[in-house]
Amino acid sequence: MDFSFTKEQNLLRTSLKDFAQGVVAPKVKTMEETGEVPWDAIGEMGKLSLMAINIPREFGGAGLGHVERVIVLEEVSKVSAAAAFMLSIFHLGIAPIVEAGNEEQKRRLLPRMATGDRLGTLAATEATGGSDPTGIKTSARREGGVFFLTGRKIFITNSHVADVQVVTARTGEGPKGISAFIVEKGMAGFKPGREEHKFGIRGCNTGEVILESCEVPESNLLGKEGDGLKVALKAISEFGRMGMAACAVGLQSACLEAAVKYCKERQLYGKPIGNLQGMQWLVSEIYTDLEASRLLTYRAAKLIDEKARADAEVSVAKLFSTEAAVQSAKKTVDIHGGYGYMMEYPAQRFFRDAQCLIASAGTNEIMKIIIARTALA
Amino acid sequence: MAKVSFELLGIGRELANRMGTGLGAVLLGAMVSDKAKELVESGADVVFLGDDEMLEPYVTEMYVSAMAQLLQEHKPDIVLFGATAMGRDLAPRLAARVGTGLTSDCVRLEIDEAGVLVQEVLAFGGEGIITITCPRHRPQMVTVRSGVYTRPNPSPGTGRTVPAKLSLPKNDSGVRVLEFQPREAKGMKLEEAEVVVAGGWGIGDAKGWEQVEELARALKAQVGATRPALDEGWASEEQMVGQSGVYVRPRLYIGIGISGVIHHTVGIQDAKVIVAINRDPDAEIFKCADIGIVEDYRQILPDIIKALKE
Amino acid sequence: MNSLRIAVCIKSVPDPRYAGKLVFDTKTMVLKKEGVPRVIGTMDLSALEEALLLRENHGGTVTVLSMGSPNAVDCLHQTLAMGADEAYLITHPSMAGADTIATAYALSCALVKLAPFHIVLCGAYSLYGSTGNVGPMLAEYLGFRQVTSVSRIEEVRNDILRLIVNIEDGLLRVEARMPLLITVMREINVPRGIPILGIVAARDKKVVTWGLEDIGANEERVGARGSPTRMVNFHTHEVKRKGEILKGQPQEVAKELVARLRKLAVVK
Repeated sequence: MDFSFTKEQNLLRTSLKDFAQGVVAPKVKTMEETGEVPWDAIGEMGKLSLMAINIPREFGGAGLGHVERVIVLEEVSKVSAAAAFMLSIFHLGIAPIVEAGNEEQKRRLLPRMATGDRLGTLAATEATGGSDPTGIKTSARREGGVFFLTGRKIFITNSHVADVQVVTARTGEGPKGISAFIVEKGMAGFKPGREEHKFGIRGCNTGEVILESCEVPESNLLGKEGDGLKVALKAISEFGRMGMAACAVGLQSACLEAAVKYCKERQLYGKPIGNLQGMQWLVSEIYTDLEASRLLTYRAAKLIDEKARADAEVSVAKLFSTEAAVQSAKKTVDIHGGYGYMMEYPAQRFFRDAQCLIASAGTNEIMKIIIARTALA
Repeated sequence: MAKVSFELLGIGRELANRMGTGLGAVLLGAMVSDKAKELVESGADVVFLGDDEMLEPYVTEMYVSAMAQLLQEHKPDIVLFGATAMGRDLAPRLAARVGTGLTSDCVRLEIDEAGVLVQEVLAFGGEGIITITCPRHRPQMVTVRSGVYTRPNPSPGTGRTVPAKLSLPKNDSGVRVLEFQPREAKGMKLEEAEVVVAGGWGIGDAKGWEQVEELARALKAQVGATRPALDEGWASEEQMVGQSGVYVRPRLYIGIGISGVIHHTVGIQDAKVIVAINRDPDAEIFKCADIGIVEDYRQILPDIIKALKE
Repeated sequence: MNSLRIAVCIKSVPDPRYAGKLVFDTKTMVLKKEGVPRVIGTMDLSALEEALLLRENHGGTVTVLSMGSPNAVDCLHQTLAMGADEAYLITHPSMAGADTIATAYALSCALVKLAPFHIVLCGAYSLYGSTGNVGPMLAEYLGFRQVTSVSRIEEVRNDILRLIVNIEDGLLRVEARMPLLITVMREINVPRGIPILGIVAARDKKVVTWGLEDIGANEERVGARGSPTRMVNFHTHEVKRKGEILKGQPQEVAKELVARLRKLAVVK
């Protein structure tokens, strides 16, 4: 087993470190204070082709794999989990088109999504079903060569900024009655609805998507009628879950760095508090969880790249890393004592951000169900 | 003539005395002979004057050629250059031409027991000072930034002017100066300010910068900045204090929201009194300040301004 | 005019973020840089960016060169990912301990081997060691004209460049004829990041390593042997100030500060 990264992967990490420090870091304060999406940073992401990592080269992408994607998201998340989350969902919106799109759809949409010129998302969740994706009620009525979609999607990341959205809707009954559609900004009857105010992951837009007899041409049906659930779940499993795991790894890294810095600088009883066993235990727990999260996440990514069946491993990585992120963030706040509660210090941001990862791309309860399914098979 | 030239005559005098040798100044240009007197008043024993229309404006090849001839004829032990744009253009090329070494941005010069010039430069990223010598090659050449040494008070001298017999190359106009746009002199130059108030990354935004300027007004001070403040657009290039900017020597320096990396602090080390205001108790700048205040500048600047008015 | 052949000379330096890990060995007089990752100097990045922009606007090729230890190869790989067409690492044990003269000499040998070049770009100064001497020294050895402290390349027409030079008193507009060596200031541009597509494209490019014989250099003139200047000592920067921290409520601290400054006669 070779646990090392290639020269190319290391260069990728260098590039992303510079990007995260130079472009994303200065935006964090504004993102936190205003909740506004950092358009400048999105532009720079496009210039570096960060949306294009997994798009095949023939469509303007880099043709790289999931390990490379984790590197990208990990480094961005170290600086801003919100920015990484947003980027992760851009990828999530692109993935179904790469996986299930026909030549015409790929040729028409992917090149501009690769440059970040057009941004993506996946809109599946509704009030009647998130963890239960078959509970959706959005309907797609076919008339001639057009589908009319009606319904509301909720808790959709990038709801207001995405130009291209992969939307699941019912063309029939039961799980096989769900189809996936590519809905584009400008189509009649398609608009963003309310914007959600999250207590963390601020600066990443989350909101409602409203479809009112939205006119979607036949040519925008993704895959065949009835493929919708399969298309959505594959993307959510490979890109959504891995994305959350990667964000969690980066966030834990930031926690460790902040905890260590404070332990070295804060003096009590005439010495840095890092000398106290109590602090050492907390730091070592954060460290250990980070090591484990990192290994689980990269291992799961590698399995996907090798085209192995990896549902359980991906779910393990997501479950473990996101839970660890929440715990490590709390420990980081605790290490900072009273200062941990103050907005000037980053620990509170990690604490608020981490929780969002738990329920995203499938709640951790769902992860356990998937893991149990493999374990008990 | 650049201020640094006179400063170098000051340290040059010390070095020459230590070596028991004379101090010369090279004056090149067109119609510049009347400036020789100033150089003598600052300590030059001899002014080598190259007065030729080919030497105006500065063109690299003309000056390198002129200097090379002077070095060949007079064989000085040491040559000091100001670390100005012109100095950075001329000195290295000259060193390569005559086959000697060059040490740039020296922060300290002295002669050791063996009569060799000891050259100290800043080491990388805050680590300290590197000492360099040029043991065998002559002349020993260095560049020094303005502000490292002080300009001597002018006093009448007995130095003489020696016209240089130069054989300058034909100007092939491979490099031509088309025009010169002087920079708007924003009042007094920062290097000469008596009081400096400087801001850094910790100021946070343009609105905060206004508070820095307000304090400066209250103190009748010049406003300085560090690189991050420059990058943010709150200050302009000529306000940058530090190794790649301006060396200041005010009676009072107040650094606000500045972390204090050595590239900045080396530019303020000659201030009489240094005050640092920073929210971060571990900021490096507290280690080189006389008085430190650990506080968000927004919380204390208004009170300082109020106290000054009383 | 035929397409431009542009060369950029860069130096790989220890990452400033890890400056604390540098250790100076007083016995061997060498600054130990093990374990400290290397990055491309800031002004060198501007030089590379300017070269890439020149190529975008006028066509041609960008060749990057660096003289250094073998671990500088990663920085050169990075320049390929950023868009350089070729990269050469000039490295040999005999080149260790080189000052700017010896460095400029080695680079000039390599540039002569790869000639012709229309434009050679260097950073105006670096905050580590050489402070920009290499450029003009290199120009001297190559017999190129030089324009230093350039803050903008306004125009390239046939073999003439029009440049803006940033000096203390103001700006100069200068015309210079190729072949030309230019040293650039940081404000000339904002260097691009390392694009992912560039990293992938760099698979088809290779960093070429050249030693003493490849560049046809005289061993006497490289490395410590070829250096007129040498490092003889290193010590930490000592500052002797009290560093007294005033404590208390802002109002009181402010009053105390002003009182002290008045007592020291630095404030009225």
